[in-house]
Amino acid sequence: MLIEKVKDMSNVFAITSILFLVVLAISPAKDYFSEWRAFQHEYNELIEEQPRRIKPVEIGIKQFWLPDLGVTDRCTSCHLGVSEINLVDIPAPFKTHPVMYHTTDEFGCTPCHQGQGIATTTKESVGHEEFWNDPMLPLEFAEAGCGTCHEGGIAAEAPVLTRGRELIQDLNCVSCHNLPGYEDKFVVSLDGISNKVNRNWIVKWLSSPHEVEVTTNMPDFKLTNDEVDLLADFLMSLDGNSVEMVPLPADLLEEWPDEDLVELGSTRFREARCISCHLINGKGGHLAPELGKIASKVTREWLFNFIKDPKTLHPGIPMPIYGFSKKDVKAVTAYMVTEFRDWDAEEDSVQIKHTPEPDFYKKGIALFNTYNCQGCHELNVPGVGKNMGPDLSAIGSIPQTQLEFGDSGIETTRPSYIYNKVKNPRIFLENSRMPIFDLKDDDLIAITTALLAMRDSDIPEKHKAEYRPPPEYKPQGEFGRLVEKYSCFSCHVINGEGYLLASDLSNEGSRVRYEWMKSYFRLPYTLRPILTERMPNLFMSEEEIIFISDYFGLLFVNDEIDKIEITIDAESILDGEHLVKEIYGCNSCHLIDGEGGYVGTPFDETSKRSTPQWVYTWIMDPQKYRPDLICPDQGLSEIEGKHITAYIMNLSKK
Amino acid sequence: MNKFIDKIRSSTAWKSIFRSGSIKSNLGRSLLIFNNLFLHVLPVKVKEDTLRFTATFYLGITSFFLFIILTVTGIVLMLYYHPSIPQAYWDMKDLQFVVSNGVFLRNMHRWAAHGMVASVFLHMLRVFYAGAFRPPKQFNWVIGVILFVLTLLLSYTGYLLPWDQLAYWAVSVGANMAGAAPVFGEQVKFLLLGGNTIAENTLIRFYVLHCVILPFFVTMLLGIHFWRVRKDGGIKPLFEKETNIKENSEVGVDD
Repeated sequence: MLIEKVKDMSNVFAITSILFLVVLAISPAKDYFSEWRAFQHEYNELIEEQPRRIKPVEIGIKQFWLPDLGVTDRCTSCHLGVSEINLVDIPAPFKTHPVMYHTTDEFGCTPCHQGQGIATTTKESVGHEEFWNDPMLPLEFAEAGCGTCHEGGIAAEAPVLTRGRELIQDLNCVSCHNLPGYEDKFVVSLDGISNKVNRNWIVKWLSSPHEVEVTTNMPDFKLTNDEVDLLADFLMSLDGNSVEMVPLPADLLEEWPDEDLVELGSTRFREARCISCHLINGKGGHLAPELGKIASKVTREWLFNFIKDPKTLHPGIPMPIYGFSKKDVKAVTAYMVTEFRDWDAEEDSVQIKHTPEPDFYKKGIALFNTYNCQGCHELNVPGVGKNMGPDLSAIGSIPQTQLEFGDSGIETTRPSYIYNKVKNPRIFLENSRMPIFDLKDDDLIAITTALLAMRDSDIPEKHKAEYRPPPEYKPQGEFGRLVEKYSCFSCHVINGEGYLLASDLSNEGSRVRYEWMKSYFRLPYTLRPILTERMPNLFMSEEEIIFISDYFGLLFVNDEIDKIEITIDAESILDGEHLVKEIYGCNSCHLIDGEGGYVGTPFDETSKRSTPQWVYTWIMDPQKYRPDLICPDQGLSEIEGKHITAYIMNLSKK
Repeated sequence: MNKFIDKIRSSTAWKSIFRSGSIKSNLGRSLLIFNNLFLHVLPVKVKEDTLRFTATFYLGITSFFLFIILTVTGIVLMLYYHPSIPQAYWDMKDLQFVVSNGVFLRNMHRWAAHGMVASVFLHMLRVFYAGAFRPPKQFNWVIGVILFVLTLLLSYTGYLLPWDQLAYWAVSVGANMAGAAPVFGEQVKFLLLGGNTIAENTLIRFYVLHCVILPFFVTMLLGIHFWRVRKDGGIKPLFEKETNIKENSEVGVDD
């Protein structure tokens, strides 16, 4: 009996043993038929079909091990063609990597792309899984990787990131968020606003800033009508202005000023080139507020005082103080109040009558603080304080589990969160305070990219890109006063300070002739015919012009340029003409003897303006002093350069 | 066939290794057990009743078998694991992604560990409900309870080793529970963590406990446990009448 039992048992034992063996065999089999192994076989087959011979891959896991960076990246176990230059047209994952600014041996993959480098399956290496904080950056935000180490100086390599950083700066995101590396932007103060604008305008403005001014940076807070009324009442109740305003002269007191005065104002307005910065009825620059309906926005008294001296009313404003005479100021004011009116608004003002709520002041100040208006607009009133939004200094590495997506239904990833939050700030929480900026998709992607680059990264300092921000240059003394008065830095750069809208003036003394400089200050003109933003006539006094010209001529010189020797003789002129007209075809962009293109500066006027040394320096390496210049670098030899210079310098002497 | 087996068993080599020749008698069987280091914990004869499946549901031997699996996989895992803070987690990832059969090893170790806790617990319940803690088995019951506690401690100390969030917080909770104990709580917690917070010291401490100290004690106590099981007799179902048990049916080797 017992023996039978044992026999039964041995059958059971045999079956379970076989089952156990099968189970044990599953794991090695899974190991052998892994995804990466299949990819490597596929790759080896694929490269055999290629016209050029490419070395087949040895089957096995490939990795970059960079202990310094804490990187173990096995991505190239499947992305086998990354460093092969001849696999551009092959589908992923074998494709050649597009332009690479770093070698993989130096940095691996994940310091730029993020993702789980140690993983060896597609799903896990991309890293969209519960326990990986930094999944791979989607391709449209890939430049965030550059921004993790590069604080700047990569405009050409990372245009999206750079644009995003510009936008963050421009939209003044730092007014509400802690964003290291960005600076506070100038926004007009609200002190004395009741003397500046009327209540109707404030109501319209607060209800929908973009409707009033299409190009404004002021976001829409989506305020309710009650909130708008409270804020308007609060702002209008702020009596008094710390700055004494000059009373209006008698000529401006009438509703319709004298026609001759308006006529003169129109001329001065044109000469001062106000539309270089201001938009008027769809024409002009975007640097400053629109002026099309300014007369219905601000009071006449305020406008008069502002044109006279903008920096007293709004200290720090980028607008220059024009050297207008008293009559000019009156004339420009008269012109503006006659021309730039909003006829609809004036009808409204008759109809709307409003009685403020009894406790509007208290409620208004609370609203003002709730929406952190103080973040951008200064207002010196007791009870007003800053009320910042979340700290974004490490938003690019915030754990995804800490993001609150609510019931928005969007993809629950960090990039998607940031993108959607900037696009529609109220998406996650209806009563969120963040206003709507109404941005285009490209801009949203750019901003998201720049924000994703704000990371608490563990990349050691020595591997981070060395970026030295341009040195701060603060002109002193009389010159400093003039630079401030005429707001030169709003458009020009000197020694790294300022905004490069026009030219860099750091070498101006070596660049232009003294006489020309003086005449240019007296009556500026367009150096390049197709430019839209043009130097205004600042109506400087003669002493100021001489002072500035002297200062430029003595201080902003460059020995490297001044020491170049140029001889102008008949032979070199002749050779230069041949080179310019026949060989390099400079006249397709530049005017020569009244003929040619309108893109570059007319050569006919060059010798009056520029020094030969500068012309030579410029044509030898056009991008040296102006990196974004479109003039092609022809790679001229020294002799060619000198001959062309001689020709150009001789041109206008005829 | 039997002749062939007899011949091998009578050879000098067999005899010198196993210290018994071909077994023909009860004496021979007794000598086989006595002369073998591994078998001598077992009695010469075992009652057939105590080997029935329903007597123990084989929970004891299941636990022991899982312990063997845990030892084997554990030793292999030790080859890939560094008990240091930056490295421990990355070793898990390496096991997952690049070590051959690494996932299988880890999963075997993990599931065997869970299985062992469960089977030891069930084993204890079975013993308890069969009343097998009563004299003369009270000593072995206590050994069993200690083994159960050691199993739980092995499970707990192993939990920290992957050094992920789950590990960290589970051990935090455990350590705080120890800390909440009266009188010596704080001291026990300090001793356990090797400091006031979970850090490098804790990891080393848990590693040594998990791989050396606790397995050592478990092995020792398991030996005693098995020895006592056979000496005291296995579980007798509590409510079966004595008369139902066949006195004379005993199982021996080669019967």
